[in-house]
Amino acid sequence: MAARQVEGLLIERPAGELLVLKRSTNEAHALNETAAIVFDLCDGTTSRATMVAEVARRTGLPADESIVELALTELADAGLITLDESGRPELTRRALIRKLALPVAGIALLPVVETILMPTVASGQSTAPPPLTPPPLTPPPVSSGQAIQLPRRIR
Amino acid sequence: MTRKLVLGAYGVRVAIVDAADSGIGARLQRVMPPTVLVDGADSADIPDVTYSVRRSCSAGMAHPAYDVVCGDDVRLRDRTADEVVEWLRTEIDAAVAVRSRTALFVHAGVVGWRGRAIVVPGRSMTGKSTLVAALVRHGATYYSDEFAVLADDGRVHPYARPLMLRDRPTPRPDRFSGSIGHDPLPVALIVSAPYADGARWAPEVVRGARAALPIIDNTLLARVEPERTLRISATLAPTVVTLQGVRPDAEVVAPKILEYLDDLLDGRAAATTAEAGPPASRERVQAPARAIHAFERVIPVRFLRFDDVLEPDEHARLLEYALAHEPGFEASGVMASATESSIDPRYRASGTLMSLDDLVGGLERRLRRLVPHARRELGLSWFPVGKTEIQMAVHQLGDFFGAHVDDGNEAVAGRRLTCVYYFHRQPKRFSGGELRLYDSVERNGRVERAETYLSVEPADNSAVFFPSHRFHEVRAVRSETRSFHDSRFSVNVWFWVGPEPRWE
Repeated sequence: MAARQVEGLLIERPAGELLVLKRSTNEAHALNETAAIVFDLCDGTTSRATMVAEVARRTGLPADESIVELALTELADAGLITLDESGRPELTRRALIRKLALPVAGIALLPVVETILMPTVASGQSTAPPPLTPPPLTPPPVSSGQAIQLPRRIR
Repeated sequence: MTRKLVLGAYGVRVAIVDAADSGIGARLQRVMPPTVLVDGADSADIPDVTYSVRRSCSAGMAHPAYDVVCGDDVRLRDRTADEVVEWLRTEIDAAVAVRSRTALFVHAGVVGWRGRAIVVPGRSMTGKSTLVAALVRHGATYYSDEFAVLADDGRVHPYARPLMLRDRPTPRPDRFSGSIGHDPLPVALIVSAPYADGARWAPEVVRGARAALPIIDNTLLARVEPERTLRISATLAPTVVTLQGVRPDAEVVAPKILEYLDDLLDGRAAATTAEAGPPASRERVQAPARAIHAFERVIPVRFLRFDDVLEPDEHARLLEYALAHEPGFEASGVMASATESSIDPRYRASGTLMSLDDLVGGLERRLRRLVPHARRELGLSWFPVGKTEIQMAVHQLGDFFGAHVDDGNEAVAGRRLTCVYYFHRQPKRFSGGELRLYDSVERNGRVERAETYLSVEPADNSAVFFPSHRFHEVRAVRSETRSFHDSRFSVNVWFWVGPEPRWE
């Protein structure tokens, strides 16, 4: 699973972690140390085995391939890297914690990529506009205990 | 007689030309922060912005009325002196914040405590001024209730305008006996915790790069000056601690925040996020509903809106996709029970496209990345995110969807978070179609729809998140044409709760 960083990222490195801005999507990403180590090795050539060894050496986490897989999954989901193979492992953090039986301190070291959408200049007002003075409303079409639902579930 | 006043702050000069001799300039100075200094009106420097106040020409006004002109535009017309002062104050704040190249302006309240700054980032109406006022009443030094002004070294400078509290009938400066800070301070603590009714104070302690995200999230020019935003945020990240969650009343939480900073400065606070406890053992930040003794209680609705979600080419592709699939849209149904779905034009009239290809899937994945942020901002208890439902909807002339919730029976009980992405063709040829989000009211233990609501415009290329259990409706669309192409389009996404993690 060769992984490569996407182009056009702005990167800062506070204390071994990463703050990354992706201008094309106006997203900001915070990578913890483990995610940052894997991200740095996403040059299209570094093998997964090398990534596993490097993560273990620098964080003290077990030398387990699934930790790197989780990092790659999170980085790819965030749009920060591309993966050559289409069949990515569907690995969850919960499954990994169960598998590795990590102590609390170890859980905090598992790769994390947190994403926000950068605000527009005008969006300072957008989270919660002032409430309107409500006009009297007609009763809802059904009683509140039997509210109408959106239709079908999507397959 | 024309009077000219030039105000300057953080490298930005704003001129007020009072052609009406209204005395507005002097009044304005009293409500601006001390850092906004009166500059020499005779200076050769050209102001960045000039506002001219002149007597209104409209007849029949009971009181003296004024217009405000900026460039060739009449920006304000027929307003009282009080209204002009308030409007100019906001305008000058915005002009300084957006034009300054010497400092980065972040939407945030700021107080000082033991030589460090506590920054309370947040959009308007999230209660930051209230929390700042409470912190000041408990002894903190006042720096700002609107902007954290960050220099390149990461220190925060004052922007100490008189505190404005919106829970008053008329916003006015809050009288407080606290001191006002003047010296720049290093940031020690970020409190990213909007007020939520019924919340308990159990914030997550965040350090490192993640701790700096609330700063980026509230930086006015984050998209315009991403390099500087990133650099200054990275300067903060190694040392700052962020308390993240939702908070109860400011008076309750203010002393706890100051105690926490005391512990932090004295080395007693948890040294790592891990010591604050793993996610599963963290207390849920939102308390369950109160006991029935409260006869009636209104639970305000909240939502989170993101603008400019897709890039222009992505937006164009999505619109093209919707228009190309016109035959695929079917009449939307409603569910009265877990097994019963029907088309009922009394309650809902719209079209739905169920089979969507990966073009829309890309949007869904992008919105999914915002779920942790939305969950936090909306004050929702943590939940493991499970599956996602997605559909495209079209509302044409007269279409609507009556008040409903999205999780009201067994078949859809797992929906937790609803997201609606709006898009349409430009120029816009319809009106109406607003999303109406109702407050809830708890009566004798039953939660019902309240009569009060917030109205959200279906703005092109915006996404709105809100809790799925909240009552909401789509107001009828009024359209200039019957053309499908000019309809109100949306992509509706529901994020489900997944299986609870097992901590073995």
